[in-house]
Amino acid sequence: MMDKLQELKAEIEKIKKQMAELKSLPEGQRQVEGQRLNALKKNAEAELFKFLNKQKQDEINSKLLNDKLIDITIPSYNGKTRVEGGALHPITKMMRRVVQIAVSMGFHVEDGREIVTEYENFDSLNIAKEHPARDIQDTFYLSNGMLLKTQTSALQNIILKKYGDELRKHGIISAVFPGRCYRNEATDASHEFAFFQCEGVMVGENISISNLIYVMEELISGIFETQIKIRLRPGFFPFTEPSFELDMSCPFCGEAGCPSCKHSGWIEFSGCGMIHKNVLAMGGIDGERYSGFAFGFGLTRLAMMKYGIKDVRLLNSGNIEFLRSIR
Amino acid sequence: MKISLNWLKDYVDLDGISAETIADKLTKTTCEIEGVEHKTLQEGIVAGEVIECKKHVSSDHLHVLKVKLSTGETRQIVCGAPNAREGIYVAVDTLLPSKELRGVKSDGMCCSLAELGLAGDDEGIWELENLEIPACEDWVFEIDNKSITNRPDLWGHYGLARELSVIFGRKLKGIDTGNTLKFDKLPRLDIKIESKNCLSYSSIMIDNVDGISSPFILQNRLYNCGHGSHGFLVDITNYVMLCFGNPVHAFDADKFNAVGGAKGKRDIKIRIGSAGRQFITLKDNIIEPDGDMLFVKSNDTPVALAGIMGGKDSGISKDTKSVIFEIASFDAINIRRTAMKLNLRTDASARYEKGIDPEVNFLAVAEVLRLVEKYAKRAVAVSSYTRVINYDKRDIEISLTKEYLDSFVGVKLSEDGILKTLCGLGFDSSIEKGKIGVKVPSFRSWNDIANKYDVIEEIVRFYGYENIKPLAPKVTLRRVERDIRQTGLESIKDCLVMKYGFTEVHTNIWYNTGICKSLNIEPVSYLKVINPFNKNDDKIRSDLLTSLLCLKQQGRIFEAARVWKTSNGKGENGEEEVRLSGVCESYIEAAEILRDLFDCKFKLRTADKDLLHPINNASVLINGQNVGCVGVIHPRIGKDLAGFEINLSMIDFKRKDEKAADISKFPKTILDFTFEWNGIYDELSGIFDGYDFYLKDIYENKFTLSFVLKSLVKTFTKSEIDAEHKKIIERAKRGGLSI
Ligand SMILES: [Zn+2]
Repeated sequence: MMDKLQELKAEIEKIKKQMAELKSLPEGQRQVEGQRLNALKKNAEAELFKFLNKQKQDEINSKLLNDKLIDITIPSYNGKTRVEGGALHPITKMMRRVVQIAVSMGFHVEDGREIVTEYENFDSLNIAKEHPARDIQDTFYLSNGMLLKTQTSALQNIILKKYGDELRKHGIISAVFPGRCYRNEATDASHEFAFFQCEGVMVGENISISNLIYVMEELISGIFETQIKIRLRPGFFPFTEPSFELDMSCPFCGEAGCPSCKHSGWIEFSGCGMIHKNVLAMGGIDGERYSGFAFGFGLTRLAMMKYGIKDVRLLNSGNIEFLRSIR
Repeated sequence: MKISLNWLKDYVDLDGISAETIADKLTKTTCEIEGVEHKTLQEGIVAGEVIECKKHVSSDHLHVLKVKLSTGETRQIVCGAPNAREGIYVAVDTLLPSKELRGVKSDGMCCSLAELGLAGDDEGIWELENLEIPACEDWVFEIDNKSITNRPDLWGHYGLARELSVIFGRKLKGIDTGNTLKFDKLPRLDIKIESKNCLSYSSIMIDNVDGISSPFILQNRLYNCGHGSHGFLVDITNYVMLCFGNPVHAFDADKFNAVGGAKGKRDIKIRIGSAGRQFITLKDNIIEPDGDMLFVKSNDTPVALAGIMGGKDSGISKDTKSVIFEIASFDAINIRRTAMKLNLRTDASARYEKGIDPEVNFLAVAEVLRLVEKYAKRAVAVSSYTRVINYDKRDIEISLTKEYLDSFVGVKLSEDGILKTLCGLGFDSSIEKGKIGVKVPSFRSWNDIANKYDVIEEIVRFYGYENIKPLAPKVTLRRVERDIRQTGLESIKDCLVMKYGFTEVHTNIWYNTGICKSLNIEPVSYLKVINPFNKNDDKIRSDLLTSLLCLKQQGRIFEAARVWKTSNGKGENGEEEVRLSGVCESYIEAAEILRDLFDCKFKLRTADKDLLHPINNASVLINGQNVGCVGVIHPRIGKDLAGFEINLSMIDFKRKDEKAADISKFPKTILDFTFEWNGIYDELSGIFDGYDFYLKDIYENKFTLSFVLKSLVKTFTKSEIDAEHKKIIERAKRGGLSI
């Protein structure tokens, strides 16, 4: 049997021979037949080229097959520690998520100081001189007369003043301000001196309680990437009036009841309320013309919930193994 | 605070409403209910009459009883209670298996209230009024105290009953205070208020109050609400406090007189003001009065720390024959201050520091008198109900428009509903031509309702927060720009994590003195915590690297956080700086990372930082400005470690010109040279200023540099290349390099 190479060569020879005989054909027929043979010849030559090429490749490959197999399943190592990728802190990840949603809803993002004045932390929030919140037991006071902010609300006054112009120009202030807060209390699996909160405000003409419900529902649904329902209960904070405790429908069980929601279908999420007129006034805003709401929730708690962190103290432990496990 | 459903039903008809519904509605409308407990009598408890009581032959304290049960059966029961005697009615646990006690068969047990879980203290077996066990079933609501801090009126059952009356549209029963006038013919008590911190003080003195045991209903309700039983008179004070929130105190009148040095039984002088001598409380706390503390005094001698706790010398005992009841109101802030100062928190102080309306005194005293009259048949009032006041009545009137209300809530509310709510809550209200007028009742006017927003809250919480529909705010569209410092930091973090495998950590903002000491680090701090959690850890940090090193972690870590510096050495302004600090294994790589992140330069051996190696350290420069440091960590602290710290507050995060470069179409020429050089690499750029070159190789002190010759308009010719070659060599020679 003829091998493939000879077969291809013979085919070309055959076509060439037929071409040589073209002269004998009549004028009209010659041209048509010539074109047909030309096409056939091109095809046959291409076929031959492909064959030769493949033969060459096979020859190279048969040599490469003797190369050493490289094991890419071996992980990288440095002879000292476990080599792994890094990780952002869970609080950073949570904060970015919240900020991303808030920005998409038209909130500015502010980043405030951690050491604040008594005025910022208490007076400007309508917290009376004798209010229990000022107890020295709960607040870390500093040698310079300032204190470690106990709540992100301590920035409300600064934010309201900062965006006063925007309120007059666009008729709206909306900003969120996440940050670290401190409470002087005994630590355990769910309490730490230092924890993160996120505060938000929205002020404008005719901002109402129903607006608060709408915005919170959107924001929380965004954070949990699923449609959440919220419900308000009466609450009490000196800087809002009325004040609410805000519960969200459990994102983990869809209200059916699970350990995360203590089988109630609802999770306490945030304190919120309509900003107290005294707080607006101290922020330079006319409380008769404008109204607004404020909310604050625990980013630390949120991160613990979202990532299933059982001991809050791990977050400040600098334990790499723990921090890397959330990636 | 615990609230009993049966008790609430004294004031409002709640028939047909389940405890769960009540708890749910209260939580949604008024305050947080943390739990509901169902109280019932255990099974098998039957009433019986003791028809015979004999001493046990072989025991001093045991009795052998014959008890005729209400079922008709008669049982022999051995009982050790001191009050076991013939003719009393008892509660028998009939389900206990019969057993022998010192040779005598006992068929069941006579129970005490405590054994049945119906009251707190054991005073022997329970003596029933008749051959019937009273109803004991109840539901108890546990209220989160934090949710009623702003509602002094809710610290008793009556206030909650009022809320429920509005929630369920049922009528609140009025309290008849007519009995307070009954003794007006009797002599008044000599009461003088000597301090502005006492708003009202009222008393009545009653004789023949000894020998009365506390009735079951008081003991049982107090127990369900978390209180023990301490005898009839003390139980009355607690019971009435839980009715109306107004604390009541009882003095033994004879002791009260004696400590005040009174000459006769009726020579009582009640003074309320500051005290000049030491005072010992019921619980043996010794108190040295300061000018601010408020006392009740018998003449000059303090007998009670006002509104907080009574004194040891004037307290009620079993033998008290004559009682003085105190129903008063004190300044909330003063009570709170004193309670905090002395760390003495009581049920009374918890209520007074919320601000008890002095008008409630009348409700409380009326209830005291009702209970005494009902249960102490021999009791005789020996003074009139005497009340002295030292406050101005509150007359708060508030008005708002219906339009404002609707727009503030985002709902069109019905006028009927508004009026029903406000009137039900005791606000005298009207709506005329879209204007809502409200008179605030006294019991809501102390530290509570003060402006239209408070009124709106009252209206809306009964309208139901769940009935408010979400509504998108109408706002002007405008751009929201992220702060470049925040996004810049985000990029830095991403780079460290994704490109260099760092893990982000969070650390405390105060130095851990113990760990610092063990690492031989002496941190510098400009700010101190006055009340640190751990006595020694009071130094607020002025650098970040120390915090990271104190973690003693293996691996690459970083933190971006604040430190506090000072401009005047006193830290008066507590100036914050945002820092970025990291720890890794290699100095060279740390520098490389910084170059990548900040496009910075280094000045070797100039970082003045005790944490770093004395030679292998460098300042980090951006545009000639010192923004931080990098170096090998000092070997006394850790081996094979490098660290860096950058002051991000000095970094200019402005976006650089982001423009594409022109790429030449012409081939470039690369010339390699190897120079011998004993200086640092950075100096070479000075020598070859203007040239585009890069490091190709280093061998000992020989640096191979590649120079790039390129042009946008032409290819370099042979002679041009030769000329450049010559120039580079000339430059090298001038710079002191040998080829
Ligand atoms: Zn759930």
